[in-house]
Amino acid sequence: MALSRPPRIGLVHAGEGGEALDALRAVSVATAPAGDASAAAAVLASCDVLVTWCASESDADALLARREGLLWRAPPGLTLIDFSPITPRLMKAIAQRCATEGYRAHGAALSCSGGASRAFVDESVMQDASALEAVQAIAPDVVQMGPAGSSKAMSIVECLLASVARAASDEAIAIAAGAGIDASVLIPLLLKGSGGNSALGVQAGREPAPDSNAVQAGLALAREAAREYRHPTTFGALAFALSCRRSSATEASAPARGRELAA
Amino acid sequence: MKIGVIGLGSMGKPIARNLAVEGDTVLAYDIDARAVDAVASESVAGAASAADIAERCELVVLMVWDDAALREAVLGARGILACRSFRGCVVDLSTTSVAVAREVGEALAVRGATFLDAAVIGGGVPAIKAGKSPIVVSGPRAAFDRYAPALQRLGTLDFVGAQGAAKAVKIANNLLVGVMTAANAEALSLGVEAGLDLATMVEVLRGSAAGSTVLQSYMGRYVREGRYGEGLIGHALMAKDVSLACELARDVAVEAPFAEITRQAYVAFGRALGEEKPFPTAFDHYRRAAEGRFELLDSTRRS
Repeated sequence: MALSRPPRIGLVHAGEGGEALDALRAVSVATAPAGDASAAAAVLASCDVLVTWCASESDADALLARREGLLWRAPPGLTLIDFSPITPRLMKAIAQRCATEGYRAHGAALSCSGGASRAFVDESVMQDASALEAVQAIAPDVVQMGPAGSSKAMSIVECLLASVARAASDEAIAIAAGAGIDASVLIPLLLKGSGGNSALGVQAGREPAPDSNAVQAGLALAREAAREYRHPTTFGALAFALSCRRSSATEASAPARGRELAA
Repeated sequence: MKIGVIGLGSMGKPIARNLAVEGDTVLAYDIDARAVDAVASESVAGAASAADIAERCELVVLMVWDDAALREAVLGARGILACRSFRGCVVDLSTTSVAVAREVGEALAVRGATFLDAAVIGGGVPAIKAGKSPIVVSGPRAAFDRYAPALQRLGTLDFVGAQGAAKAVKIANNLLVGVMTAANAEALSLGVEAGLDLATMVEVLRGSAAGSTVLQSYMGRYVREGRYGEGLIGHALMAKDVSLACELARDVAVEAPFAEITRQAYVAFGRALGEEKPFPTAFDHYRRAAEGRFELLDSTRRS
């Protein structure tokens, strides 16, 4: 249902989220942490579209899929868009739960590329004018995916490859440096060659750096998705292990999700 | 000028043809006589051996299989240095190691000849056919300046420094080709398993933080045409190329887990699909593995 004015977006969130959470905060008329029940209730009362973001699968599960969660306090007819880095399976469960309670729930994910200007959305968003308008306010480039959970799957694939590109490019640069080739010479050559990739473009200053929090979370989810689908994972697993090692080395700034899974 | 070309595989043949212009003639040699016959024309003649080429040519371009083939072509009993009078320039475009490039360069220098190690770093067979390959070259600068006009018939040249530097660039490039192709295969197959459309994924990832030349080239073509590309090397050769990165990493004491796991992956792909199958068929392998048709290098899959 379309509104005669821009939808009021409320945000309820749990955990730290880096660029993604910043982008959601920027367009929200009211925000509240998931743990503050009265503040969350105030957000629910003041918005047309509720956006949720949780740093972990367990937080999203508690907030959106369980009986004691936020939705039991929501007004009828609420439109919910979840941007959490969660598995496609949980997003499907949330969408089903919401449907039985009379809410419209859509999955979405901000791309880890280019400063959160692109959002992957489940196809249901395209049939819900207020949801689409809200997503467009958050990220102007809206990419329609498929059924519930597919936006999360797309985000996982993107993060996995972004992380491998970064780690493998670092390795290639280190090997060449050992042989006497400076990175400032090597990178422009690789970008002309068949080994070119976005991580090199970032190092050359030609592309914005991906959101490291999102990439870390996506890598962890890729591992979980591989388990769920019984899909082989070699490169994702190695990228994840290296990423956790990096996070451990810089514990103070390590993304929460990475620390949790590394442990 | 008479130019020799040694190694007439899918890259060597168009190299021989493209060098044979502007009044220059090419003598070509391959250990497989049928390859020599296939490339022979008005301006490309066959030679009996690498030594025969050295006897008659000032510039010799090599595009051979590996380190052993490079050594044989230069240092072997019927190799270039078997010709005592050779004082010309050898340009090696093969994917070979930094160490052997330096070894061959030293051997040629002792005999008064020069050596440029070089590499094609993109575009594959179509680009070399079109004379538009990006090529890196290293070694003595004076030799590069002297022979650049002839080598520019193959593509655009970048001089990258002292002997071995071009091979190091090539090794880094091929490592990334190998890693990103296999990682694309894994990630896209996982996406398919999660219900995503392959063509949509490839389109979305193009130009994103996950984008890469190999994604666009091989998977883009696969989505459009149902094939990965033309004249692509097989899994065995990709494993060999990546093993050069493993060796170089060991030589320079750099930890290289991606190189090691990628080498192992292409060995596994080759065993399962056939060593000569084009290396982007890694995607087919992941799909079959996901469907339970065979196992892969796998750290998380439940049995």
